[in-house]
Amino acid sequence: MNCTDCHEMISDYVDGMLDLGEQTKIERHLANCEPCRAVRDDLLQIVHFSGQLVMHAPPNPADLWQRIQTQIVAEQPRTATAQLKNWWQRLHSRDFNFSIPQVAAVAAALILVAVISLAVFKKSTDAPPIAGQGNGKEVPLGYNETSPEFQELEQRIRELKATVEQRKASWGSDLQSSFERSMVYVDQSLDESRQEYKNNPADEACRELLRNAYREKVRVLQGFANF
Amino acid sequence: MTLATQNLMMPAIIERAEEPSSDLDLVKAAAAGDHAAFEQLYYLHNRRVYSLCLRMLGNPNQAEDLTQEVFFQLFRKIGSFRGDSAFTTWLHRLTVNQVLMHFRKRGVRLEHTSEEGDFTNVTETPLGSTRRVSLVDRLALEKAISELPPGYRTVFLLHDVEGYEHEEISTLLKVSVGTSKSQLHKARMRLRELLRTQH
Repeated sequence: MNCTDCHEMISDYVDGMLDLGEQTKIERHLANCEPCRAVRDDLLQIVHFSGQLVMHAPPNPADLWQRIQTQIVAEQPRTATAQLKNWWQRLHSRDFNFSIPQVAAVAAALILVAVISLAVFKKSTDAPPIAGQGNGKEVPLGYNETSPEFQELEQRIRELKATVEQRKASWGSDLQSSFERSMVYVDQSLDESRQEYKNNPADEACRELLRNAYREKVRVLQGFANF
Repeated sequence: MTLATQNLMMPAIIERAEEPSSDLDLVKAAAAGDHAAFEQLYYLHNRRVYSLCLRMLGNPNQAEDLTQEVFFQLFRKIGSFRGDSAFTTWLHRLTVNQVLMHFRKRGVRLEHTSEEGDFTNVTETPLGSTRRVSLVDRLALEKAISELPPGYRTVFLLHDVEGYEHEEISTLLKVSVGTSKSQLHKARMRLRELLRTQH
């Protein structure tokens, strides 16, 4: 055996993976070759110390845990959000030409789907109790709803509500009841979306949910403002 | 929050939990939705996962990101752990798979590591002294490992550091057993050169 042959087999020899014949050959060579013994000894040290390397800790385990939690929470509402988004996107592309009862029925049905989906999402994330439980009262803006987008939507809602209030006097009781019911549902959806966004301000899915809840309120108000 | 405070918090988190349970008990609880159990699993095993990621990637920021992804995947898949192997083995394999996926996304090819050539200089120059000095200390070894090409480093870490057999490595990396053995040998010889240069 020459040194080239020895080097090719030295790792397997160190790992004890040679058969008896090969092991004998290499040991005979090692007995007479100082350079190859040096290689063997160095590899033995490398293998020995490799098995004893200490574990490293992340620089900030607590922060890393927070990031993991955020990622887990962000993942969970995604299914419900995607379904809601699909509904809203499909509806947004259609032209409406419904009668009064149809407008109210469609709006109430859509909002009911949104409320149920949000309730499922809320249950799965153990979200804290939400204030302003859909009793028609306005919930003050959350701390992070200061973006121009939400401010514009709030402004639009105020304008539409003013128009609706002017027209309400000429409505029949059926239409008024339908309007009140629709506002209960749409405000509940908005309250819950707002709370989720407040709890997860960095979550784009929650922001999108809130945006869509605002837009839905705008659409419902627009519908009633035309009567 | 200072690092010292965080380190103090870590034991407190574990102390607040029930008497330390076996990994299997924690996994069952976490799979049933017990968030505290999952958190305890994190604090028990994050160092193991991070260490492996750091050594395979050679980059602390990437190692943190991959550690985060590993625990996220663990959360998703924890219900599928059946206990037929040790949890640490299962978590280890999950970690290795995540790192390999990361390599594949980045186009890092492990099985064809470019190298300046085999070690043809087999004629070793004997040390000046008849007394052999220790070639290796842990810090030097860590540094040398980080300087290995990704392919060599991966095989070396899996075999010599993490204890995988060549058959397991060949399955993980989708290479032959012969390639795994060859890459390991080249990794060790390269480490030897790097360590000798440091001395």
